[in-house]
Amino acid sequence: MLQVIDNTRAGFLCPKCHQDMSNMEMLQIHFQNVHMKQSSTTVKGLFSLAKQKIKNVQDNFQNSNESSKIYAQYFSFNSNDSYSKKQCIGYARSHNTYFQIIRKDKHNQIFIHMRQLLLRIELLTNTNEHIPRNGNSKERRKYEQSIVAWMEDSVASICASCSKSFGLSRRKHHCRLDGLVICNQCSQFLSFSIARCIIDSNIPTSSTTNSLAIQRLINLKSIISSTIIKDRSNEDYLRICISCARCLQNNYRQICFNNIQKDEVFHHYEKIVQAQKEYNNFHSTYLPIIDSLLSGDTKYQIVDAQQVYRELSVSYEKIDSISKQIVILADKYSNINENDITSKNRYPTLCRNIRTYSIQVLQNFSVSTKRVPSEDDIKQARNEKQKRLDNERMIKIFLNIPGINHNSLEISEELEPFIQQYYQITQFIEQAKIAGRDDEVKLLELNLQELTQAISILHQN
Amino acid sequence: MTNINLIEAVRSYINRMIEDCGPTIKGLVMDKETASIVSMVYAQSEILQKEVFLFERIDMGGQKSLKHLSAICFLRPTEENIQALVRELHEPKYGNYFIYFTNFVEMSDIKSLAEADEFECVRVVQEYYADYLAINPHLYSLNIPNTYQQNYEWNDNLLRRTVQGLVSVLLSLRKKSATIRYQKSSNMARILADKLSSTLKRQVDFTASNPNDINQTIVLIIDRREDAITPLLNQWTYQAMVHELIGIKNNRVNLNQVPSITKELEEVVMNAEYDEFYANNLYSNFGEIATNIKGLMEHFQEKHKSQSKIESIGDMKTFIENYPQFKKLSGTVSKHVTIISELSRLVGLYHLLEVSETEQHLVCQGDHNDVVQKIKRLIKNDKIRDLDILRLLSLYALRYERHASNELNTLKYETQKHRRLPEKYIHFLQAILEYGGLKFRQADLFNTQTPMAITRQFIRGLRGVDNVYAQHVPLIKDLIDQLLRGKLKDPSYPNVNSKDQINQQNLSQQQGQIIKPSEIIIYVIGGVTYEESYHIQLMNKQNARILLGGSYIHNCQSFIDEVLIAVPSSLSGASNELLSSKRR
Repeated sequence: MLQVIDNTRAGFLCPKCHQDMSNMEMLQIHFQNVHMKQSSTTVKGLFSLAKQKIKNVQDNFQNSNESSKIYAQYFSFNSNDSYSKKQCIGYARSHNTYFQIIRKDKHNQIFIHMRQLLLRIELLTNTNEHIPRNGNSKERRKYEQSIVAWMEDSVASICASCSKSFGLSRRKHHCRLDGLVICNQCSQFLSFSIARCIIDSNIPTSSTTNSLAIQRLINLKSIISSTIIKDRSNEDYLRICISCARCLQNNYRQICFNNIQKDEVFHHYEKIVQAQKEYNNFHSTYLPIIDSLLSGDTKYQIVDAQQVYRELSVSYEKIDSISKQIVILADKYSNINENDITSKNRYPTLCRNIRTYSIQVLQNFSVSTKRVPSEDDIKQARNEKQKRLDNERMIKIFLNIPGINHNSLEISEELEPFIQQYYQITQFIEQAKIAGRDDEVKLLELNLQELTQAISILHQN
Repeated sequence: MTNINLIEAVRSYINRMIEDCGPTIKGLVMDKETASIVSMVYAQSEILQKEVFLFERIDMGGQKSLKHLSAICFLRPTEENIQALVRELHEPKYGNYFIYFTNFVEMSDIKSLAEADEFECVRVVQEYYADYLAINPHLYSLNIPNTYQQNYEWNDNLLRRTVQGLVSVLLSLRKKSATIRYQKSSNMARILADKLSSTLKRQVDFTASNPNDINQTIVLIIDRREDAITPLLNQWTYQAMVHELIGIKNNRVNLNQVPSITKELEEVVMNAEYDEFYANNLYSNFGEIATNIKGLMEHFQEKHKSQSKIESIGDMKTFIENYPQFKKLSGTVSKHVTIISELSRLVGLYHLLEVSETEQHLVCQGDHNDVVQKIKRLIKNDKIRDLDILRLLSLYALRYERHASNELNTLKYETQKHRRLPEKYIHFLQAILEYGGLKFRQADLFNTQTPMAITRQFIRGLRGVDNVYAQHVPLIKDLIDQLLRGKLKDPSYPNVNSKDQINQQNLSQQQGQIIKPSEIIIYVIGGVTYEESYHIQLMNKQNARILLGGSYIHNCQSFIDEVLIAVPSSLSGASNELLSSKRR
């Protein structure tokens, strides 16, 4: 039966918007408010509609909670998204694997080619009584051809590098390293001493000391400014083609690149980073000390704080002075290279930016680090703590007194001695009980009762 | 529910790059465009804190090499950049290279890079899709000032750039696919939509595996020509006003035109990410800003007072601790005071309140005779700038293009009598009708056609009474509202999708489900305005999830320039004739 009634009540639907109004009265009001005005088409009706709309708009702004999210209904929310509070980084795609495969192939090629060249140079520049001396002798040519097969003269009608045809004025020559036929113009000349250096510098440096490798490099540099000489001095030399010369050059550049010395700046910067780390370490021990001192604990003494603080200032000073040195480096550099405009900017900018960075770090440090508190501060903190503890104990005793309204925990000053007294008496009772003096216990308990009464009277006042 | 944030998207890419590189001294190598992308979301001092000590451009070669420096190369995948990188790798100036491209790279380019890397310096080659300027959390731009070529056609380069930009917006927000809708009346919108759709499909790595995902993001491509009036109006919210009256370029505002400006304020940075006052007042109207700046100044003075009396060591200490904040605050104060006083000077000087009231009246209500009288009066007022007269005439021309008693010629005649408009402006009056006249438009821009629209207009009129300067609501908001309510008509805003997707959609529509997007990404060919950004921001505040972007962020000046470039050549000749006949 009940359900039937419910159903009929649910029948008070608005004929226009099918909203359930639950009873007749509500429906009437609803209909008048919402639909009567809307249905009128007169100007007046339009006006009131407009007014209503404006009111709705105003309501929108006032009810900030519900109506301010009016657009939420139009969007679907991915439940996965809503869990993650922070927006994830967008998609990315890596080409590393492909890149590395290609690079490896290329490197293997170069490596094999280079090995071959080095081997040939080694053999060709060896001076030994069994090997014919370098020169235009038949034996020597035979020896050279036994190492590198020469291209047949008859096959080559043009120079392998400049593609001009040979003739009377353009004679055929052979590159001693790959056997190609080239003209005189396209020939480069590798002297034996340089060849020696190249071979030496290609020996893996792991076995020899680093300084030795550097020494070799310096040798190499001093001998060849453009790596391969063009003029034929009285020294022994090998005729080679341009492409072989380029290979050697590349190899040389790579060795140079691998042996570039760390610039001063980087050493300095490492020190800064080190000092920063030290600072952070000390800081993490310093903070608890200060906190404990300021909260009145006696775990640490002021001396401890001072000691750590000294360490902190050492690191602080270190960062400051090193970064200053770096700036000096910048100035020095720009003085040296007055005419070199492009590189002038880069190095000093780097140095100055490091200094700016260091200053920022130092600023952060000084903001986050509290100073060592003075004796007075600590005394004060300790007193405060003592007071706080006393107060807490007082309240504890107070709470234990039976028959007293504990609603207000406010302990007035005049009450304090009473509570102190109360505490002492309870102590005495304990002692008396242990000693077995029953009379005394009784007397004291009587005392206690009186005291309780007095306290409760005072407390109520 | 956190809202999607474009600035955060770009920042997290940059953060990741810097983290990947490890704790060493780093240099950031960029090209012209990526330099602005980074500068929009990061202050240099903040990057410095992450041990990035050098900022270099890839196109500046020949510098001292420092082997123990690592380079983060953040570059667009253009041909010049690839070539520059190849050259760089042949003679490396850094010891390590971490290469990040902002978009898809051709495999052949990767190959040539790999082959150039003889020194084995490259550590990472990746695509991080931060290929757009993030201006506000919901606003992006591709920084293309002139999209339209002659006769409103795409130029191949710009089309490619636009597709790349949109793809990167999607991918940076972890969206692999989208429902793409476009304005049918615009040929450029259609071409862009097709190209975008095919590009998304072609990238196999990213195509959606889940077909149910497809309906979640809607990309809506529209053409600025549909609504030429918004860029012509004077603005009264802070960000929009600064852009309209002074000009914002990559978050920088050039103040050297301001009378008696000090050297250090000649160019200021306005970045809401680092400037609390600016962030809070981006969308405040002119009246509110004036009150707020007063509050800021009082706050500053209080601080200043407490700073200036240092009596004990304790005071000294707090002074030192607060000094950086104090300095920052004083910078903020002087910057905003300068800008706001300049704005109010300009508003007073050019009678902008009066102009703006007429503009709004013209656009939103408009009794024709009344409007004509008002414009005539303003033409005679020699305090009013030519630019503002041009705005009014253009708005009039657009609004009453087919009106029975169109008085545009009378108004032009009046103007010629009282002032000498620059030739450019006379051209513009002709060009604007070609650009955004009735011939092109498909939507009801002025709400004058259907009875429903007239009613809405009327209600708007009533509501707007409390602020006569902000009655205009950009068309874009209407379009979004229609889209959300499922009322954006398919014939005028069709969908680029394969057939089965449409079938699926029809199916779900028949079942009575309205497809709810997870977010809407809008792209406006021909640029957006800060007014539109403001309205989108209002909607987003009410829990909408909408991103707005365009080829450029226009103010009136830049809009005029773009419209003029797009004029078909035949027309400019015609306007010259008209001009000479006028002068006679």
